[in-house]
Amino acid sequence: MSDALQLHVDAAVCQGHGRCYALAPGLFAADDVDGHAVLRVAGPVPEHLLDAARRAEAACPERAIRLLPAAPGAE
Amino acid sequence: MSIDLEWLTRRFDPIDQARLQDPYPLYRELRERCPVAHSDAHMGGFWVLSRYEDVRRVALDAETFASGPGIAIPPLGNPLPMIPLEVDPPDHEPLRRLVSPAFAPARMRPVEASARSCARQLVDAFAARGECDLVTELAYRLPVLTIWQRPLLGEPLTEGLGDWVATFQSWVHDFKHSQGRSAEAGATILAYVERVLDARRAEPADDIPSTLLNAEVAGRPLTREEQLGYLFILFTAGVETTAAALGSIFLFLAREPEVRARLAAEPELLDPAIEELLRFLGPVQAERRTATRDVEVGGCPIRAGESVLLLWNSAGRDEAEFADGETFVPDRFPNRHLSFGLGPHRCVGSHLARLTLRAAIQEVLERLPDYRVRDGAELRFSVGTNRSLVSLPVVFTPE
Repeated sequence: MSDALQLHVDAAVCQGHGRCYALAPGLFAADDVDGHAVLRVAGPVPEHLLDAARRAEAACPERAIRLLPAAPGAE
Repeated sequence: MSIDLEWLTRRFDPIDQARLQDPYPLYRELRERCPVAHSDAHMGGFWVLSRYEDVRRVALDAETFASGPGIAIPPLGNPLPMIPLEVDPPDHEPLRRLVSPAFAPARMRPVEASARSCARQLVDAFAARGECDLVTELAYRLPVLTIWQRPLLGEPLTEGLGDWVATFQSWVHDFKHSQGRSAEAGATILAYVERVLDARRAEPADDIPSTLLNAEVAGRPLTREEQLGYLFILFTAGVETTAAALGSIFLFLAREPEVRARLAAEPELLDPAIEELLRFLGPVQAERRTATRDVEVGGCPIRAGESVLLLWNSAGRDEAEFADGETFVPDRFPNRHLSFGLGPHRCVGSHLARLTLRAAIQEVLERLPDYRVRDGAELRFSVGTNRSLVSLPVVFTPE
């Protein structure tokens, strides 16, 4: 899976707007502190959730979410 | 209406009631002609930022653009700094974390059920009449009812206040909108939140006032002033903003029956549509920040100590960020609106605000499907930090 993609949430940038877990509840959850985003999927994003991942990345007002090539060796 | 460009670009006044009844054409003009304007209307002058990118950049950089010196132009007259909004990094974050868990999505589930039931009861009170004022009877009442419960502000002390919901509304409205009586209303609210703290000291509960009484930052308890400054903003901030949003939304839906019918027919559209309503009709007009160092914004040098005014709702219509920004698109995507702010001071109550908006809008769509503005009704916005419709008389088929 050389073209696998992985989600990253920059915790220092996330302010808990909650757009990601509203749009992609399979990928993101809210933490208990301020509704900050918590990733529910470690490693490569499964094929069927890629579109949701892209939407969450595009929707974040803080630009805290990045969908990037998965680290080598990640399954 | 012709636009007074001289006023707009040199003397812009965020509390000009006549000129800002419909601010959107003015904002557009500002974005296009003079995105970093300077006004001498208050406080020895201030900069006026109208573009999304400039507003965003300032909001994100809370160290360079401080809110400690105050968040309104002209100043509101709060007796104490509002915490944590008027606190800057690095002190801000630990203060915010004292209360933010009470507003986290997981804790909002019971509040959501209760908001819906409160909305239903409020509509019950007028549904058989065939007419009502959607601002004073619903928009201003529901946000008071939803925040004054556990785990938020808890049980209100209502003795001697008569219609306590209406009393709270009027205090908050006077504080936010009556330049002359703002300090007086601020003192009344302060005295009330002192009583709430005393009551919770005597009888602790699962609510924010009790949390503040026991809270520590940097290994020390909060001072009495900090507790009061915190409760003060929770008393005032969410109630008036959510109410102002609902007033604008109900007026918009009255004028756009096709949008209303579509929202009623497609419930799954409601959540994205609420984000779009927030972008299109955000309640917070303008907020101040103060430069802590010499800096440049949009090519203009701003000196340390100078004030800038962020026009949130102008940012919300900026076509550099939003295609067809002046058009309402219920399922707009992406929709990175700034109506809850951005960066460290983002609205801590946004999840509460959304569920309150949803409860009120759903109730109106279901119960008053054919409401319209009463003929001859005077539709006036009170304009300041927020832009709030004062009254919205409507008629509809009685239940």
